[in-house]
Amino acid sequence: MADLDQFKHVYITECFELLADMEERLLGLNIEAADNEALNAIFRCAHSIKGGSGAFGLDYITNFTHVLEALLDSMREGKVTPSREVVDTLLKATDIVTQMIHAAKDGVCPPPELGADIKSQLEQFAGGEIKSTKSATPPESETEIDGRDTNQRVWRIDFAPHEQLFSTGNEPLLILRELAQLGKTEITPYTARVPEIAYLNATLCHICWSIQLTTDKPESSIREVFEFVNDCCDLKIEAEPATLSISATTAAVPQRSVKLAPAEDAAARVTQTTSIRVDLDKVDRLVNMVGELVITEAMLRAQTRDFAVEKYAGLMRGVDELSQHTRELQEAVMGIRMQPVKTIFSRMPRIVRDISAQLGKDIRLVTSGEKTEVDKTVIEQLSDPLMHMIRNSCDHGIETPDIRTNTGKPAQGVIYLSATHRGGRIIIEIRDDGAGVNRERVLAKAKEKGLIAQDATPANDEIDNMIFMAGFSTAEKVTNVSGRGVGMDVVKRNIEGMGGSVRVTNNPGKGSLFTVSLPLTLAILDGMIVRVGTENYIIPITSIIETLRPKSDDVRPVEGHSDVINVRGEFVSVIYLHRIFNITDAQDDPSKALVVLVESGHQKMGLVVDELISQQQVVIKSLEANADPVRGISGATILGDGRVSLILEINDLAKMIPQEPQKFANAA
Amino acid sequence: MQGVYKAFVLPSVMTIETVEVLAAELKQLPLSEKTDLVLDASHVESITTPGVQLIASLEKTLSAQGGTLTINGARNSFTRALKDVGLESLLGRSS
Repeated sequence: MADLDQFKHVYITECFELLADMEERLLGLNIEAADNEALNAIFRCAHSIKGGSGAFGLDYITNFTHVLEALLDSMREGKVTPSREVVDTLLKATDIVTQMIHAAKDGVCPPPELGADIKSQLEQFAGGEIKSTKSATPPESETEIDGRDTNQRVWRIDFAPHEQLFSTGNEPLLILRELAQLGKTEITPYTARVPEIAYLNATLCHICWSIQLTTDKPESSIREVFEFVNDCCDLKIEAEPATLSISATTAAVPQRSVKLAPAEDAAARVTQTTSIRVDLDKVDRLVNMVGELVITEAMLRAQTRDFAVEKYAGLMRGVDELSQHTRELQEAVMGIRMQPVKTIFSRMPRIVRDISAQLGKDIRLVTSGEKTEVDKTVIEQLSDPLMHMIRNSCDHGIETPDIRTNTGKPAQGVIYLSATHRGGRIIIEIRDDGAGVNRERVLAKAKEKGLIAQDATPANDEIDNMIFMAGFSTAEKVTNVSGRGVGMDVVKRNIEGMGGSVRVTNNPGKGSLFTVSLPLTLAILDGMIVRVGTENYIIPITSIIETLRPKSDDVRPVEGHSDVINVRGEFVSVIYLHRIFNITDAQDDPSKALVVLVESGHQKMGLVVDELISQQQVVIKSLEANADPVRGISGATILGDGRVSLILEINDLAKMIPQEPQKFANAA
Repeated sequence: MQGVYKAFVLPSVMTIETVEVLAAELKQLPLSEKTDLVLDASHVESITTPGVQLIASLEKTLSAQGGTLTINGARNSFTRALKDVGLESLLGRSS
């Protein structure tokens, strides 16, 4: 049953994609003038989920999506007018289907009452109880063609499924039944490829069909039936030339001799597949192998660095070419894992819709740059921070309609979410036309909570960015939307944990702009190689502010805490890497060593190192598989000389400092 | 020469989920020359294309050996599935 599990896995993966698509289309549905194309697309999502569920015996999904499909069908036919209530119920239905798919994924049966209320609402909107799926196929009499219809056409459909069709969750029987709903069908199966029982692989599809369909429906309706098997079958749909606009004699059209030699025909036909689904593990293995290749190439280059070019011209040329090909290969492989940010952007309209309703606000979300691509690992980790920032804009940024109207703004607030590539990074902006950051309130709150000194007079930009400080919140009341003060600091930390940064640009009264900058991948890192004693470490370049050698007077001890250094009037905690990692022969005096000033969140700190070696792009190797987590270390890499070097986790190092630097400043 | 009569009871579900096991069972049947196999379909509640294909394969095997396949007790859903995929001929000798 391993094969079946694999097929089911593919089906479930596709269901999640279909549900996301369905939700996005529902949210984009213009209630005043619902576009039939949009309704068709939503219907097809539900239909496809239902179709596959039947093949895997997931009856609870079949039954629920059947009702969902029925309502969507009524909407397509104009029998049910889309309204906000209908769309809300359809959105709730997608939530229920999502829960059901999760249950199917986990191999458990959901409670029978799951979605019962929503199902009943769907039925009510559809205009009464809907026939069960078992009776969904129309009785044979319904497929009879009205002989008086003069728009009847006869179509010849050659349907040759690929052997793996069953594995995609598709079921020819359901397709043929759906086709029969379009008109009168005469089905000729071809079983020549079906092996005798001893040689039969029962999970592969060996039957082909030639169907003569007499219908008044257009070709697009016929193609729609096959929409979800396009990539896993050979399909030919042709109108019989002699029978265009035929009349009552349609049924009497003699059945032509169908020359379909399935095996040969199928082999000869051009496959139209332009994409394949590959397990992520396989891609990750490929990325890892290319990572190894990059390291080997770097080692080879390091070994040949001192060779005389005139003596080893061929070898040196070969190494140059290898470097170039390796870089190209690495870019190509990393490109495989790139995904458009649409996968996370598409979740945001629902969040905005729900929160708006919850807060009594009218908010419109405008997205752009959804096709901007970034590594899948970044996408996965970006989802939560982005969601929180959108929630934050809804809750703190956009005002209630009455306040907006009183201040001369339109009642509806707008949040703009955009993505773009800039300088080898992805830039995501969340801009709103709300009230902006209230600096007076932020400053007062920061002082009240002891986050800054009472007599501190920070610049406007510094005040704006205080919203990223731990425990900071100006929300008047704690809501389940935001206001627990555990939000924006976590957002900042998560983003910085990915090698990114976030900053806010405030325009009081007019809105705020959050700009997130992230690397395109988490597999490669731009790092500064530093030496501490005999060990080399990598500091992520994005964390580095500057490097300096302080005067001995600038270094001040603080009792019970780490030393601090005075950097142009600002006191910054010092972290002695050799003490943390137990390195004995390193320089202990910052004024004789170097201090690399780094930033984590709102906190700056100085890392004491012996030497800066070089800046280099390194391939990140995870330590998790082979070692317990080491505080202060995020991973490792192999340098060109073959030595392993550890990559510093700046956020972890920041947590090793007992107090905020401002407090050191007060103490000093 | 008189054929060898054998009978086999089909399970209630003949879909992609069950056909592999069912095919393995059917492969164990000693289908000697001129076997007249009777399939009892009275328990079949659900059948989809993989199930129909399995019967088609069985019919092909028997036919090649000079035997026959008979389907007994087919319910409406069973008959309908075979008709809908155009293989009602498999019911030819059903009773």
